[in-house]
Parts: sequence; structure tokens; C-alpha cells
Amino acid sequence: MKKQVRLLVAALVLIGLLFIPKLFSMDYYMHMFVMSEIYTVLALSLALIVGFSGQVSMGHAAFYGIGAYVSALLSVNFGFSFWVTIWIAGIAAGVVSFMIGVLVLRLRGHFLAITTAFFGILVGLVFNNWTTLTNGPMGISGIPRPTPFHFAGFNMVVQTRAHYYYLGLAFAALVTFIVYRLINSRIGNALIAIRENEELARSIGIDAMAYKVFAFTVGGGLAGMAGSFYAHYILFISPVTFTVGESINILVMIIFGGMTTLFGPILGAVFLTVLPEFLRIAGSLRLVIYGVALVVFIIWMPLGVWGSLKSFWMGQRQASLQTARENPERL
Amino acid sequence: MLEARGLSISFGGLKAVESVDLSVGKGEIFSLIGPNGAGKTTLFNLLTGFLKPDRGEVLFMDQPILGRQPHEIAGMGLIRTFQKTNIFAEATVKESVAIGFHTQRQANIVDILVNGPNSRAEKRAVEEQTREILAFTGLLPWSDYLGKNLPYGKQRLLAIALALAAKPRLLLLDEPATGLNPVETKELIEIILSVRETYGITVLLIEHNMKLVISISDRIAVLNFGQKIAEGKPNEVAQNPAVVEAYLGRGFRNAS
Repeated sequence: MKKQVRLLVAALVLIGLLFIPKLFSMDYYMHMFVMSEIYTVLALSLALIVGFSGQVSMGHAAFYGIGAYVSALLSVNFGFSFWVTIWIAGIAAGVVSFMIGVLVLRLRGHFLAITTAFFGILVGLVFNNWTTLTNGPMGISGIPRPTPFHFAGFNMVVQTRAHYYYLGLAFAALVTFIVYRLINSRIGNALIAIRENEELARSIGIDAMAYKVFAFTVGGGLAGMAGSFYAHYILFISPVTFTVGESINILVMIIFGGMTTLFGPILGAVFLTVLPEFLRIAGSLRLVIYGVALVVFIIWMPLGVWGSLKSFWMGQRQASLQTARENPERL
Repeated sequence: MLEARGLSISFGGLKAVESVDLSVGKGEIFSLIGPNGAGKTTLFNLLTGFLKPDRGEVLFMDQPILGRQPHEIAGMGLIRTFQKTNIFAEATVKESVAIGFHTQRQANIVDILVNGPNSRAEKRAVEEQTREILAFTGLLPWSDYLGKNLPYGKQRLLAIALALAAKPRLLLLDEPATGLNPVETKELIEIILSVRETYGITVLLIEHNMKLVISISDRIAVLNFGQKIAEGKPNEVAQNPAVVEAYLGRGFRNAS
């Protein structure tokens, strides 16, 4: 019964998502939804590192940027198709992520946060100053759209925002699915154990360092793929997109939504991509309202919106369990 | 089962553990006692890889384990609990114990992503065995509680349940009875005894509660200022003048 309800909700959500381009024909709205999808991937990949493994990273935009640059350079200079470069971008970002992870994940808490932030700054400096490769602050333009995709008599053209929306939806759904399976496996168990109590995790046989590096690598790799998608969507990239400010932006999304849940990062990504735009009617007060709202949420819902709801439901369940135990006759 | 020879470590000028020999046989309940600061917990940390000794060697199941990482040693079946209450605060009791089965789960990444047969079989097995351990430790009614919401005594039991899930051959318990009331202590004694009987697990115990130690130990070793000052059967050790002196000071020799 419970499973059927879940499937029904999932089906309804999916149908709703598929119809969004029909409901919002304005380019501007569609752009926001495509960006929401990219941020969903970024938020989920960061949640794997920060939320589930408990390792605070403030350099996530660096992997996003590495993916974007690798993908853009390969297609602009060598004519590679997006369908190839997105994988190479993911692998490249994953490899860098792995190497950085091995170096910095022995650090904890604030030290790790500061070190990853500096890594983010360093990557930004490379984007800005290695002009022969990256064209510096001028960025890379003329990135081709994904080539038409022929597969088994099925033609896929990626031209309009609606096309990107569907492609992004598939991408975000795939990443959600991957993260879902990971966190519900022995790997997810190990990550949660490390987040909760690394010493205790080690004492029961969990190789904490290996799992932290694994989460960092997968998170970085997925962010790299998001970067590739971004590059072939906007068709222009420059260093200003991949700053530490952007890393913090993604971090705020998962804090807002609830980073220890699967749905929280998605909620945070979509909401915080769409909300600032709707606040435009408030004119110059926009950022003030946005800032105040964030502070309020973080103070009163430290587990994030979704995390707080979840813990509220769990609390209800526990309370009823407690009553049942104390008053067995009421069962 | 466990052999330690000449283990020594010093922190600065303090000799926390000094040439301690220890030999625990299969199926024994072996207790380590001594005044506060005698080096008992430090010795546990040395045995389980959380600290590296300056000198000495440790054999577990006839294999040298010195220099290995804690998780490797745990994987061999040498599992310890901690003196402070060490649990997964934000995980439910059920989830915590399930985490304990980590080393017995092998499903590979592809299998995990497609939720393949190994992954599913593993999850079922873990669920079943988790229930078994929760029933064994009397935590079944608390399955859905978060670790942090348990009463203290149950948290201590949860730490043991978690250790049991990790399939120990030798279980190192660091002051499991600390802070327990007499009823809970009695439950604990029964659990420790049946850990050996039901699962055939050898137990090495640090404990201050003398009643508990005397009633369940096969052998006892006494540490004082990092050195082993006595070893033997419970009643022998209790009579040992050096032990009495360590605990009560000179002049109380006849008090016991």
C-alpha cells in the first residue's frame, strides 16, 4: 500500500515535470528551470560530500568549472561532441577530486572548509591566468550545442530551451537515482557512520579515509558533468561562474533544503534558483529579503526545510511508540 | 588468541604503558583492572591500532597486527567499545546496528546501482541479523529511536550491540558498566556471559565494578602506573598484596 502510494506520487510528479514546458512557454522561465536542473545535480553531488559524509567542502564550484572547461575546450578545439565530452568532463573532474580528496580529507571541520575554499580560489586563478588555454577572463565562446543524437531510429535534437529542459531532467533524474542507490547501500551506511562518529566507524572496520575520498570523487565527478551540461547550454563560459561564491551558493542550497536527505538538496536547488527571480518584484529590497529569509530558515530549521519536516514526522512516530510502550493497553 | 609482548608507550615523560605482556586465550573472559590512569584504555588503543606503541608486538590469531589501521584490525575480528558513550547520535538504533555489519557486506558498486541480487540479499540478511542482535541485547523495543534519544543505559547497550554486529572474535569492552544502575549491571553481566556462550566470542574487559569483574572473569590482570603488577584467577588477584596496595595504599594490607 505504502509502496503504491509512493509510486503514484512519483508518477504524478514526473507527469507534472514533463508538462512544465507546455505551461511555461516563456524563455525566461524555461531558463530558470534548466538552471534548477543543473543546480539539482550540483546540490546532490555536494550533499553526498557534506550532507552524507559530513566533510565540509567550499570548493565544489571548482569541479563544476573543471568539467565545464574540459568539455568546452574539447569540443571547441577538437570538435568532440557533447555526448562524449560530458563523460570526459566527469572523469577529469573526478580524477582531480580524487587527488585533492586524498590530500585534504585528513583535515576536519573548519580546516577542511578553508582548504577546499582555497582550492576553489586556486582553480579560479588558473581559469583566469592560463590565458593560452582558457582565454583568461574573456572566457570561451562558441561552444557548440549537443549534436543531434541518433540512436536506434530515434532522433534527438537539442535546440530550444524545452529540449534542454528534458535533457536536464533526464540528467538530474539519473543523478538523483545514483545518489539514492548509493546512500541506501553499504556505502551510504559507511558514509553516515563517518559523519556521525569517525572514531566509532573505524572501530567497526570502516576505512574512513577510503570512503571519504570515494564520496569526494563521485561528488566532484558529478559536478564536472553538471559543468559540461552548463557549458553546452549557455554556450559560453568564463571564470566568474566558478567562484568560491558559487560554491557557497550551492552549499546554501543544501543547507536550506536539508543536506542529510535526498529530497532536501533538490528542494533547495530549485527553490533558491527560482525564488531570487520572483523576488525581483521587490526591486532593490530583493537581496535583503533573500538574506533575511535564509538567516531565518537556518536559525529555525537547522536541518533544512525537508530535514525538519522529516524529523518532525519521525518525532511523531517516536512519541506514539513511547505512548504505546508506556500504556500497552492502548495499543 | 591475543598475545601482547613488551608493549610500551610514553607520552612525553609519562610512561603510560610499560612493557606489558598480555595473553588472552580463546573463549576466556579476561579482565583488566587498575586505578584510574593506570593505562588500561591506552593499552586498548594500542591493541586496536588507535595508538602506535614505542616498543613491543601484538599477535592476534597468530598474526602480527602492529602498524595496521584500526579498520583493518577490526576487519580481522578484534572489535573494541569505548569508555565514553560512543554511538551514532543521529541514526536510529536499527540503522546503527545495521552499520555494524559493514565488513560483512561485499556488494560491488554496479550491483548497488542496479540494486542487484547481491545487494538485495545482503540487505535482507542485515535486516534479519540486526533484529537478532537487537533481541539479544534487549533493544528491540527501541529500534526506531535515534541514538541520542535513548536513555543512558540503553546507549551503553547500543554500543555493545554495534560491536557485536561487526562480528568480533575478540571483544574489547572498555568499562561497559560505567553509570549503569544495579539492575542494568545485572543485565549487562548476563549479556557478556551469553556473548561468550551463544557466539563463542572471547571477551577482554576493562572494568571498575569489582562485583562484576570478580563474578564473570576467568582471569584478571592488574595495571598500575602502566605496569602489570598482578595476574591470575579472581580470588588470587583479590588477595595479592601488591593489588591491595595499589588500590588502597600501604597499611591497608589486611583490610581485604
